[in-house]
Amino acid sequence: MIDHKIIITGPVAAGKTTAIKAVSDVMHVSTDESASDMTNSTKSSTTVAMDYGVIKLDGGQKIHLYGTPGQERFDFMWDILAQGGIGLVLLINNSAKQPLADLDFFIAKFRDFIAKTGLVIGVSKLDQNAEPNLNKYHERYAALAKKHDLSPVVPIFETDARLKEDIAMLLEALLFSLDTELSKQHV
Amino acid sequence: MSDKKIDKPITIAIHHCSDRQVKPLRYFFQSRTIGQYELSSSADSDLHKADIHIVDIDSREGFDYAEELLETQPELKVLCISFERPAPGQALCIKKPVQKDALLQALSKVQLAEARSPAGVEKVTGQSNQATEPEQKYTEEKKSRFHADLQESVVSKKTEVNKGSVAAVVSTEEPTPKFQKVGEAKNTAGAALRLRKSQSLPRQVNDDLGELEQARYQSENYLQGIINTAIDRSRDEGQPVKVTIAKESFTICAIKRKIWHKIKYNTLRSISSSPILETNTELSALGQTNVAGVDYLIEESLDDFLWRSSAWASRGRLLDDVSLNQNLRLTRWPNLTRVLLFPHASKIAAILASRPISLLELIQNYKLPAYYVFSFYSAAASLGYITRFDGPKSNAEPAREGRGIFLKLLDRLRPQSYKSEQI
Repeated sequence: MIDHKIIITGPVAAGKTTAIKAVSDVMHVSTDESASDMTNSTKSSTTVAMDYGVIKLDGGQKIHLYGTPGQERFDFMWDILAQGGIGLVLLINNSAKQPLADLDFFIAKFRDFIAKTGLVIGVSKLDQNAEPNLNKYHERYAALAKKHDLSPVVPIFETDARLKEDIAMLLEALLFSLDTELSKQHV
Repeated sequence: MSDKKIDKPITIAIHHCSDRQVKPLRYFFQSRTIGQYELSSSADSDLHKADIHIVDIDSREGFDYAEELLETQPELKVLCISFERPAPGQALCIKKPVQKDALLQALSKVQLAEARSPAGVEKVTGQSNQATEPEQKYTEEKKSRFHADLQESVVSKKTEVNKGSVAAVVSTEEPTPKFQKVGEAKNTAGAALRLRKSQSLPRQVNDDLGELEQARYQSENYLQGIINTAIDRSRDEGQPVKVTIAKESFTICAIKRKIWHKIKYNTLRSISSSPILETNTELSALGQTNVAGVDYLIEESLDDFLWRSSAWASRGRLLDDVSLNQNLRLTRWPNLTRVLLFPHASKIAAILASRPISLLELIQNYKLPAYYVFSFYSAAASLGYITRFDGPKSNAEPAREGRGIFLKLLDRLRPQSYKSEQI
């Protein structure tokens, strides 16, 4: 039986852990530790290795959800976690100082993985900081796609990681992006 | 009341009734007609599970729904209820507040009438013409008066702005690209639907290309066109623009991509889905006024507002600016976690984003309902998210490993995702 895994990545405090909690069927596994560096200014604890959750399907199959640690110093974990993944959910914290720079960074870091699989982008905390708005993300991504030779149009949605509906919609868009022929079979 | 012996209870489905109307009806069917009539709880999913459909046609949605039932499901038996509105087509209609005897009498007539067909319609009409109830007379009088008013209204409005022939004016639904009072728009929209039967909205995949081609509308005649005009002006002048339509107003800022208003959901839906004819719309620049200080209750994304208004204007119809065979491509995904989500939107977006494809291919190759494909196109095009593509096309991707598990995951996610809304 083949299971699949979806990778959820993004900078610190983008809502990766919360997103996995929102849709996981099992009590999610987390490796949060007290934040001891500058992360401390945004939240009290942060993921240092990974988050893990599962969506159980009929017939005993599973979709594994892996959340990467947000801090760049743990980037050695990113490639390890991404191996065998079918797609990437990139969450960007819009209340961060330079969210568009974060987008640049993560697209570049995961460029090879995105080219082989698929990408959806969730912009969180737009309610806390309205700028840059979604238009700016679309414009920036279009430039990045050209630069990195990636699919020119990907789903970019306003996302509240606490809302199961938002995360489910991101995953749904990812699946249809990965395989548009699913549309013929899924009513 | 009919003396006909009924062996098995006749199932009744009620559509588009307000709670205030539906409660006494429920009580009546559940307590006073045991063994004769019973309410169907599953008719929404399968219309054929009910023997008779009662539709409240006082709302725009109810009227459209009744009209669609009559046109697309002629085998179903429909009874309309209304305070004063004439029923669409030849359906029987009784007046609200519904009286017990009148209801039972009408149900008997509808039940005894044969399935509607060109011949069946006559039978229902004939029976209703012979009826002596005041409600029926009232309805018939109203119906003829309404149609006369309707013809006169449409003709006079058109004649004012267009000196063309009256026949040509009445035979086309699309109003002139001028604005109309919102209050009048409802009647004209309903009139238009009746005047042009071929423009009934396709609800599912339809192979009749002629019918599909006729389901067209012009955005400039609807709120979506007015919003786009206001956006252009706001962008050109670099300041917010206030739009007033009849008693409703809203302020648009193209730079911030925001809109401020206090329009109720159903009112907005009604304004959006009706043509706006006369120059009763006013656009005024607000200068550097702080729009936050304006007495508005709601601030929302301009794109979400425009998407919703365009989807409601479309209601399955296609904008008249595109050919079914024109290859199209999505230039950006709509914000599906926040916009009005209707069925199949994410599928349509994914396909249009993946490669150039025509609307016809979308409908035929992917078995997607034309209603939603056209609604998606109309909403996305209104926002500038769709571009025409005249280059060589790439083929659809081959079958992907893991499709089975993807389908299972979609089924698993669907109840967790946002509920799509009928438009």
